[in-house]
Order: sequence, then structure tokens, then C-alpha cells
Amino acid sequence: MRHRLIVMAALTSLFLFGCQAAETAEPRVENSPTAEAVVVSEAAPAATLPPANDYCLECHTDQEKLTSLATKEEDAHSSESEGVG
Amino acid sequence: MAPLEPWEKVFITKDEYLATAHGQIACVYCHGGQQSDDMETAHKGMISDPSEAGEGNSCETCHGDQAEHFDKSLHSNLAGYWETLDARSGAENHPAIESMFGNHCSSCHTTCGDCHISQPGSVGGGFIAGHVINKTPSMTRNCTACHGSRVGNEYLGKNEGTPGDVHFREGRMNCVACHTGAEMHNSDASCAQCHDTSKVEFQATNRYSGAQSPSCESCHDQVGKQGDQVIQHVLHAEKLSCQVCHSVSYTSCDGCHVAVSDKSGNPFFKTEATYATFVIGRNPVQNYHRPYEYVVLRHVPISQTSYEYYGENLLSEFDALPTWKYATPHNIQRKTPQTESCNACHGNPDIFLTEDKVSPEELQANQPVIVPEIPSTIGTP
Repeated sequence: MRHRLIVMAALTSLFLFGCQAAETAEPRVENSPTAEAVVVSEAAPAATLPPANDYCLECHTDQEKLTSLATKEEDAHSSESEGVG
Repeated sequence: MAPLEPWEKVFITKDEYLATAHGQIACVYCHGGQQSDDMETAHKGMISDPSEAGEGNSCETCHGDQAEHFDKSLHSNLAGYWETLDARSGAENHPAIESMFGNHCSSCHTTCGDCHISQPGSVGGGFIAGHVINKTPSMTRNCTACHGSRVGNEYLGKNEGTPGDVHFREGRMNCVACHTGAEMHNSDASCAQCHDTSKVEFQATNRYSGAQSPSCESCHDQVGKQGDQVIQHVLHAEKLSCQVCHSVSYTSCDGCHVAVSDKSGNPFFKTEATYATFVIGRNPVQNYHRPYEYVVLRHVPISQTSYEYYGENLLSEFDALPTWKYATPHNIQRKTPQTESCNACHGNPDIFLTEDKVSPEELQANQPVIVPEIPSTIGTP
């Protein structure tokens, strides 16, 4: 009987510790997005941000402009080749 | 694959691209150049592909884990080419071989952008989706754009009379279903599964270096093991590569020669012959990871005179490597002519690489893979 009581007490404390551990783990998971957000904002200095008037994008999103400017590159590798490469 | 129009190659789809994380980064941050409304000024000092492996790879700034070891990827360092070129040529010929390599082979070199942003340069380049960066490469516009004439055609069933690979026909699996990002980003990635790579450095020197990655057993893990109901798996385990029984006719090539055109100044190649083969031979790379006695072999288009445009007898050590190479055809079938009966292979001289099937000038080079005596017939006919 005494032996049974000891086993029950041990199981109960294991159960309670188990619950406690799970509760401790939860907030860590919730915290992680905040931590990530900090890292991302630190890793993105102002120099990486596109300027308000981005000339690169202005031209490279303008199909008409690109059509008039882009020239056909010569195919340097396969034009005179014969057979399977 | 139809080539892209010149404008299309550099056209950014504004709304789609700006909606992505990369759209929040200034173009000059990765590409250099400068902000100017004058095209020439804007492009001065610009790096069209800032994703080359090694120092200056702008992808590595954020994607360190993926890019850090990319210089160890065979896609990046083309070590497989160098291994065979070094073996077949004497040191005195290396300068000429290097200039040949620069003209004809180095365009196969791959950057991060060649898989995630653009079509590879070797097929004309150009953005796949308006500079939107694709996490997963496109099977047809990236992978088989380069690996098309053999792997792509076999896998997709484009060779006349030969069905496509069962993994594609039945499972609609694309390349990345087996070939993982880890494998693509670092050809030595699989070594770390068993070895402490912080203590021992590995460098894959060709696609069959180290562990099989991917391997058929990654999915078919019960094959050849206790309880496998297919007796042939148990009988042939470790004696035959899977492809010996489960692949069908695949492409081999002969006599590739390279030169630079007098007319245009451009490098070009000519391949003498391309034909369907199914040939079983001895395993030229037998080791712990590939213990097989027999494998299927593909004839590669090297010949003693392949590089004669660059100098005489450049492949002075031609016999150092077989011209019938270990192969892993991508046209796997559950049932093949070989699986019909034991004697489809046993006692069948047609499917083994015997001396009579090798051209006399390549006989010496192929001694390690020629089958001296074909396995005898089983039972009474």
C-alpha cells in the first residue's frame, strides 16, 4: 500500500512537471516571430530600399521602351553547331 | 523551347515583382550600376548576374545557408568536366585544353539566378517570370533546358518508341521531387549524413562521387531487404544497379568535335552520331556507395580527335577512362524487356558490352567495362 502511494505520488509529480514544461515552451514559440522581425529590420538598412524614383524599374517595366532599346544578342554557341549537344 | 524576345529577357513584371520580398530591395543593391535616366550611365559597372558562386554573390547576404557552399556544387564548379579532361590529357596540353574549355564548356556553368530567376545562359537566358524569384526551378525552363537531349527526352518520353519514366507518367513527379535543394546547392551535402564534414573535407569530382543522392532506395526502401517478395531483388541486390533491370533504351552519342568558326568567330560543335542503346557492362566506379558488378553504360561523344582544332594529340591519355560510362538513364519502368525472364539477360549477348561492340580505337580505354564472359543461361531452354 505504501509502495503504491509512492508510485502514485511520483506519477503525479511527473504529470505536473510535464504540464509545466509544456507551458514554458509555448511562450517561446509565440516570441519567435518578434525576434525574427527584429533580425529582418536590422538586416535591411536604408541603402537596400528602392528609391522613390527608381530609374531601373521605370525602364525595365516599360515594354514599349524595352522593345525599342533591346537589341538581339548573337547566339554565340549554337548557330553553327550540328547534332545533339 | 522557343527563345525569348530580346525585350522579354529583361522585362520586369512590376506588380508581381514588387509584391515579393525581393521587390523591396533596391536594384543597385544586388546589381551595382547607378541610378540614372541615361541608359549608358545606369548600366556602367552593372553586374547583370550578381549570383555567381564565391565572393560577391549577393544572394549569400541573406541566403547564407543555401549559397555558402555553392562553389562546391558541380553545377557551379563543373568539376566533372575537369576530372575527365585532366585524366585524358597530359599536363603539357592543359593550356590548350583550358582555352577549349573556355570556349565550349564553361557556358554550362550555373549561377543561383540560372535556376531561380532566368533561363540558363546556355539556352539564351532571359527572365522566366519577370524577375520574380522562383523558390523551385521550372523543370522544363531550367532543368531540362540544359539536361534536355538525354535526361529530359528520356524522362518525358520524347524518344520515339520509348515510354517516359514511370515517375513522370504515373506520378507526374518533377526533377525536384528527387533532386533536393540541398543536393543542388552543395554536391557534398549527402556526405554529412555519415561523416563529420567539419573534420573531413569532401569535394565531389563528378556526379557519381560519394553517396547516391538521390537513390532509388530513398523511397523504395524495402527493395532487396528481408521480406521483399520479388526474388530477383534479393538475388541481384548489390550485384546490379537498379537501372540494369528497370531502364530501357537510351541515347548514346559519338564523335563530338569542337572548333571556332572562321566565318563568325563563334565556337561550335558537331556530333557525328546519336543513337539508341541499351548496354550492360562492368561497373567502372565500383565502390562502397555503388557496389554493383554490372551497370548500364552510355557512350559519351568523346573521341581522340575531339579537340584537334586546339592542337594535335591533346588527349594523349585517351585510354585513361572508358568511353562507355556509368549511366543512370531517366526512363525507369516497372516492367522492361529485361524483367520478362531470367534468360532475357542470362546468356543474351545482345545486351552486354562485349569486345565486338567497341570500336577498335576505343578498345583499350574500355577494357575496365567490357564484359569478358556473359552470364550463362539459366535452366534448360
